[in-house]
Amino acid sequence: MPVNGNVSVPAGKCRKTAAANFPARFPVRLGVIVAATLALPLALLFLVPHAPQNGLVWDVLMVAGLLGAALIAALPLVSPRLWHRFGGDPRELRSVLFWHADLAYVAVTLVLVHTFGLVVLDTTTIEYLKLSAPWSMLAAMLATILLLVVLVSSWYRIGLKIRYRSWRQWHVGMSLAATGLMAFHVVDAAYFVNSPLKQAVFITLVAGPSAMALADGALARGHARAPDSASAVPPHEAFEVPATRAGSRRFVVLVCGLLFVAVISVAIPRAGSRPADEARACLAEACG
Amino acid sequence: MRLVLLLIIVASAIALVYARAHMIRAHDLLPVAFEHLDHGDEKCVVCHHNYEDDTGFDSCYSCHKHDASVALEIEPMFHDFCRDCHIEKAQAGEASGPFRVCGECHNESGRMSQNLNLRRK
Repeated sequence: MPVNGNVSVPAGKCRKTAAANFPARFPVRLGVIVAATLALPLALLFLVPHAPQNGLVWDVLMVAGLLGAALIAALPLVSPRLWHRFGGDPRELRSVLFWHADLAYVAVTLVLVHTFGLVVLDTTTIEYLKLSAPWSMLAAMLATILLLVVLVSSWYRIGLKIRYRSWRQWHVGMSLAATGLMAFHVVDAAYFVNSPLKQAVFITLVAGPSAMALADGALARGHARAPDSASAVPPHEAFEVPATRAGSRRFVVLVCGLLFVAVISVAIPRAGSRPADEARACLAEACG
Repeated sequence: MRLVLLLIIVASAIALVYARAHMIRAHDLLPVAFEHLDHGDEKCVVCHHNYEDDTGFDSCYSCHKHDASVALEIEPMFHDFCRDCHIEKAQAGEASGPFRVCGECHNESGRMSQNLNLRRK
């Protein structure tokens, strides 16, 4: 039976009661956090030196990869434990958890679209999925595998009977490893992050949330010594929380997605100094 | 348990390094479309450095594929050399060759793939 606070609520009344208790600004607040986190990597597109333009589809696929990496790096900011650590409303923990999961799905989808989209667009890129590929491409492959393992282990944690604390350590460890490998891939590929300044900004953006997750892990270990510590059980099990309003959460994710597409469509034409076709035409005519 | 895991991770990393090196040596180079005439504005020694420093002989392929000291770096060496020059020219607003889409360089239409026969015999 669904519950609200510590008081059981009949199933039929759950949604209405939860909506009544749910702060209206909450999805917007998390949406703003996510949008701000993603807006900074997107801002890199506008900084000089601009990335070379390779056609809209290619560049959108590259942006998908950059956004996927940025989202993965930002995920520790939208985690129940960090929410709790910074004094967020305990009633919102389950909602934060769902946000975390939804954003992870979006991030992994973007990464897979980036990977397989490029292979479909230009089959030669399959060379970068072989063992003989450069280290940065192998790092990206390993990161993607780790992300998929993290995703599947999160889905089936209870089914696989993995203890929460053990699962959490692996979850954080593998996620941080994947984040580091992806950051290496983005910096070494040097497509959008193609200057020392951009690299510094990107690494800071990636390292910040990861450092917070690590610091939080260290704090959690300290708290775990207490017998009735909240860190001994999953955050969403430590509090009886109302079901979230999934509709509004998905609406915010959708709006953020549309905003990013709008930003990309503005950024991409500025990202290239000269369209490739024009450059080739110049080569053919030996023009300057 | 943790020690076993650590050993597995270290062993996997070492195996990966050796397997990758073997794969690179065994892997055929992709054909490259290269028009010599398009690069007439560059000094010969920019590419043919062996004219000046006596570091190699024959074609690029003979050294960069078979010399153990550079064989494993062949991909970043050529990509950084060709692609970065194209990118610099494109960013300066000059006519440039392709710089990212792999198939624009790596196709069978170029003279280099015909004359130098980059595929291993």
